[in-house]
Amino acid sequence: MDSSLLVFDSEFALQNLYRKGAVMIVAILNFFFVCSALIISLYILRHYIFTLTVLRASKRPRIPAVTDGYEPSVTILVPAHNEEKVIGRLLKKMSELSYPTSKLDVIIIDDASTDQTGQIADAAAKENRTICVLHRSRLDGGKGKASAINAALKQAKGEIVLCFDADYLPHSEIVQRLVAKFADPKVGAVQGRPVVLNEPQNSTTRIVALERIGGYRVDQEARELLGLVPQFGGTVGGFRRSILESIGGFDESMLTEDTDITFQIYLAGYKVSYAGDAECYEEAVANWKAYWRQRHRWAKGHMQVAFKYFTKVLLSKNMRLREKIDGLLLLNIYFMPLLTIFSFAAGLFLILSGEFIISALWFTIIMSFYSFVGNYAPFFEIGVGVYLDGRRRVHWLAPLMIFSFLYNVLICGKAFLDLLWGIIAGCRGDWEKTEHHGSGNRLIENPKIPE
Amino acid sequence: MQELTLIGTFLGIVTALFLMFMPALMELKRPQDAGPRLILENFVMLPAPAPPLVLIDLEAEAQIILTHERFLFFLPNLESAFSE
Repeated sequence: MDSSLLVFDSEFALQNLYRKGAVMIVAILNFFFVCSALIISLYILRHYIFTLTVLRASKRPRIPAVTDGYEPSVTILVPAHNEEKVIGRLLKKMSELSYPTSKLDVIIIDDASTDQTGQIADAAAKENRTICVLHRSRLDGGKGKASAINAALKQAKGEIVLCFDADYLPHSEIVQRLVAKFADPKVGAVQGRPVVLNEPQNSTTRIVALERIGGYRVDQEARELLGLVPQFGGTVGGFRRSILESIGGFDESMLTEDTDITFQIYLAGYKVSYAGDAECYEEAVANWKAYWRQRHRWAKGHMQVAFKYFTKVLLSKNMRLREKIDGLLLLNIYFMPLLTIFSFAAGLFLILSGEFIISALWFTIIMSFYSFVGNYAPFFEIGVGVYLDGRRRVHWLAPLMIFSFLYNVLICGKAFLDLLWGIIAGCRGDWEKTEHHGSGNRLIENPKIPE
Repeated sequence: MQELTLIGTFLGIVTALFLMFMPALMELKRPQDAGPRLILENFVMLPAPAPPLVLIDLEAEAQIILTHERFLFFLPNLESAFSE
């Protein structure tokens, strides 16, 4: 056969292969774009439903939970690793709680601290009989919050165990408000509402405060009202000690033991309840580096939990259909920033290459629809949360959340890569503690009387 | 003509961004609602409009700067302070 014909044949075959490959890639990208647009639209619908639900509920009078004098014994756990700047004010607040002291005990876990945390806790224990201190050495301690709480659980006597981070400052009636939810025997855990104390500090704290308003005042509240899956946040909350012991305590291999416990409780046939009136001040991260570290751990831990529980939630016989749907949406929430960006890139590539299966107009409509609300604390949730809180102008800062959303895209991307690497290399990664500097202390310790 | 279109588009985008972020910049520059939200029983807040409160570097032992005569204050131990 003529060699030039052979060359022509092979070149033609190669071009044919490229063409088929390109067609396949375009088909995959089109399919990916349409699926991701549908998924993201589902999240937007979910947030829209949440916001409307909370708005409608706000017009009805709040009926306090029927407790019939339910007053169980309570143990409060406070894990603390190098928290000398903040723990003093929490310990002071522990002595001001209005829950009967005969039914209350507080365990401060000095988790291998190298500062004065242990000494401050010991001094408080001497003054208040309800407080006792568990000191952990550097050998046993410093391995994260889950490990600290598991160690203290062995000493906990209360029927209900509540957890507070050392930087928190609760309302004096918070124990009653959290415990009231446990009057329902189906409730396995309860979550209260953190409010940012150092909100005025800088733009970072103000944006974080906005995120918290959207996340708790609207998102968690709606999930409680709709019978979905409120999430246990690891602090300002608690659980039944018996249930936690039956499931083996917190999983110390998880970076977000609180999310892990949430799903364990639902899979065991119980539920988490959100108590919006159980409010507590917290110290928010005050710079973007600390924000990265904190959210990176949350994202990576949450993705870990997603991999662990996706199939279990899908196949669970103890969860109702609505709990399963919301549970699956909650599990995958930290993948959404990545999905948004990838689908945006895929759509843009397809439309520029002229291979899109839908017209440019539809593409623009879809992109505009989900690009302007993101998926982390959508703007309308925040707006309604701010309105229900009676705030006046803080929602003016909402456009700045575009930057925090883009920042979260990077955080989630990095977290995903770190998680994949951790799975390949077989290491969890260190539990990165959020540093607390007592930024809100000035507002509490220096009262000034108006002239 | 094309150049004018480009300039017009650029100016339009800049204007839109400015309008979008202007309220946020105003609130950051002169906070009228800096928070935090009151939740503790003994907190006291002066009646609206709340004066702007500028906090400089709390971590480095900064002071609260009073921009007006009225200011925000928190008195969690007011009861114990008055009873002493």
